[in-house]
Amino acid sequence: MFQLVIHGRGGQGAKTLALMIAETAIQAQSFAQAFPDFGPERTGAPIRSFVRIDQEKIITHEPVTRPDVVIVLDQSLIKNPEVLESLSSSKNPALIINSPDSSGEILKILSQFFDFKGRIHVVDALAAVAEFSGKIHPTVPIIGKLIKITEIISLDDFKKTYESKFLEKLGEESIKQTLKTLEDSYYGL
Amino acid sequence: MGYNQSQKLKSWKDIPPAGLILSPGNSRENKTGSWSNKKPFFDDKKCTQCQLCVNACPEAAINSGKDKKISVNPDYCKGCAACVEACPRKAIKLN
Amino acid sequence: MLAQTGAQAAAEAMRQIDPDVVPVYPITPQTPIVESFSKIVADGLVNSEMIHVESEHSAMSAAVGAQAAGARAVTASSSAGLALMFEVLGVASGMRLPILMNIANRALSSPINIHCDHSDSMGVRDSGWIQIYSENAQEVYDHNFLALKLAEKVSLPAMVMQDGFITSHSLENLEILTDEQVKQFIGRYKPQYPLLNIEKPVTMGAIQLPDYFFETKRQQIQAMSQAREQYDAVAQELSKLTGRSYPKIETHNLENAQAIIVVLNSTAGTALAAMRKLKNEFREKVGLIKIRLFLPFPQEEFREIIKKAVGENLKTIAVLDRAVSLGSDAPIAKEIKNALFDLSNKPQVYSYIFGLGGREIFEKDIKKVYLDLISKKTDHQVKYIGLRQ
Repeated sequence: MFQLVIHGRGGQGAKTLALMIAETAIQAQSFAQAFPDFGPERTGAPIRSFVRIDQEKIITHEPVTRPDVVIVLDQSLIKNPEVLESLSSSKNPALIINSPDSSGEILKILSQFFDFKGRIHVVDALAAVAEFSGKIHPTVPIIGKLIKITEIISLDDFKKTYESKFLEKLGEESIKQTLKTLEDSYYGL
Repeated sequence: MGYNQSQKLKSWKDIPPAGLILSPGNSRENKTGSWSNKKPFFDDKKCTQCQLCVNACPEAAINSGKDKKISVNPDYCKGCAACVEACPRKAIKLN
Repeated sequence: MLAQTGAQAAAEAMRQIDPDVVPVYPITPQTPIVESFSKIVADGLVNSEMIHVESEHSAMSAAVGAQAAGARAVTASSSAGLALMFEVLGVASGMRLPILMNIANRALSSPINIHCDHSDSMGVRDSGWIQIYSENAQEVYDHNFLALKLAEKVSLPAMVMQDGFITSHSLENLEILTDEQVKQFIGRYKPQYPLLNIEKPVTMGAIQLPDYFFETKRQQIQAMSQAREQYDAVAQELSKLTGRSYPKIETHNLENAQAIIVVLNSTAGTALAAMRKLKNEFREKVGLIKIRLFLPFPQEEFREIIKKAVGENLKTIAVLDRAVSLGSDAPIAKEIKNALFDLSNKPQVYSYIFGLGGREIFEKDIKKVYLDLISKKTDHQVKYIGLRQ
């Protein structure tokens, strides 16, 4: 079973990201579960969302405590106890963090708290989307990285899911740019 | 309710579900006239046949006759005096 | 295969039921149910008339009026919303109206809490509604049809529960039936005395004095018994369509189990996962019971299952309640102790409270319960899982 925790602030897309990953997996004939973990909704407050993907039916409904990957959408959350808890899980999860800093700098911050043994993948999401005229959601390059390092869903499948969900709302041009950003991130450009 | 009455009452198996009343107008079976000894008396000299008392009566117990006489059905009149209040000529008194 | 949340699954079931009237008032965490259904109505996919009322009391009142008129009425609520409807829940049941309601379980106040526990649906146990609990989005979907058909068979209202947030906001796999299959299964609503039938006028919801009230209540009691009897046939008919089964009481690994846990809703899944991860030496000694039909409580069936298990190896039962009944035993624990009273050979029954106000329950918590039961590290004191003592 693949388990993922996404940390973000309300409004940054942590919940939607989780739902889209799970939906892609389900459309690809896997079993999946995605659920948010938050109190009363407030923009800007820290939230978590969880994803599980498996080839067998998922019956557990507990929060994810031993993720394989941890995504942090907002660097300001890095010292948050919930984030540190996710990262110090016994599975030594990979960290994908939206940050303009280097992975070394991130590791330095984490070592103030504990000895982090997982791999750190830094994605400068804002820079990645800045070059496009349209409004690309900053989670897009994060997803590209996630798919690259885990292959838990396929790039094509995700593109299909994204298109089906957002084509009407965002228009063809936006979608094209989004899918390009996704690919760039996937291929490490 | 005395035991005489309970012999006429039905078992839970023989009544409609949910307390439904299946036939309209069955309030006629409930003779509310027994609720009061006081009945209204109509002063023919003052009565103009305006029918306001007929409308006011909650039991539809007041009859406006063809012979232009107003009378009350004692089986249903429960002495509420709504007719007394309604009459614009003060032609009704409760006794 | 669809990807839907528990709330969306309820709305999808409602779409296929295509109820005549849907009076609603939002409350977290049931709101996505009515929001999703709202979109379905706006897209013209149903003939339902959605009425946005001013409170849950009005929502249930409107449902009563609509159902009494001869329409299918469906609504949804949670927590304080369900509590606000309380007076009318009894009216719906007393008037024998098979209204369907989706409940996203959420704690009752006070303190105010928007998260999952079962105090809301457990709090209305005596109101005369059939209660079916769902572990995941798939069950929410399936149970809507099961509950509706059973409700209409016995003329009693029914509520289908799912854990607030944990199921309602959780995206999972969902297999749906075709619209035609659902139409065939639920059929047309054939009310016996619809108010809209002006050829046969009736009076509903009238006063009943001490000379008849008791007899009318006795009829309601009979209807609940009939719900218990008719459940299996309806469940089996649905099974044939879906390929999934809906036993009133679902059992896992009971053969030779020394200790079993009884639980309902999503925690049943977590408990099963925890049970399967126990080391082999423990795994064969434990079992799990998930209750699907809570009201009418399947007392006799439960008694028979436990009698058989005691005859094999059963020594202890831990009942996990996600609600308290202040001043008394927890709801499910109480039902179980009651059901087992007449057994000459009884297992020990221990009451555990967990998850109040959304306090999380983990597989490791369940494992600890099992290990405590096996090693007899228990006693008759009520236990609180996850409480900071």
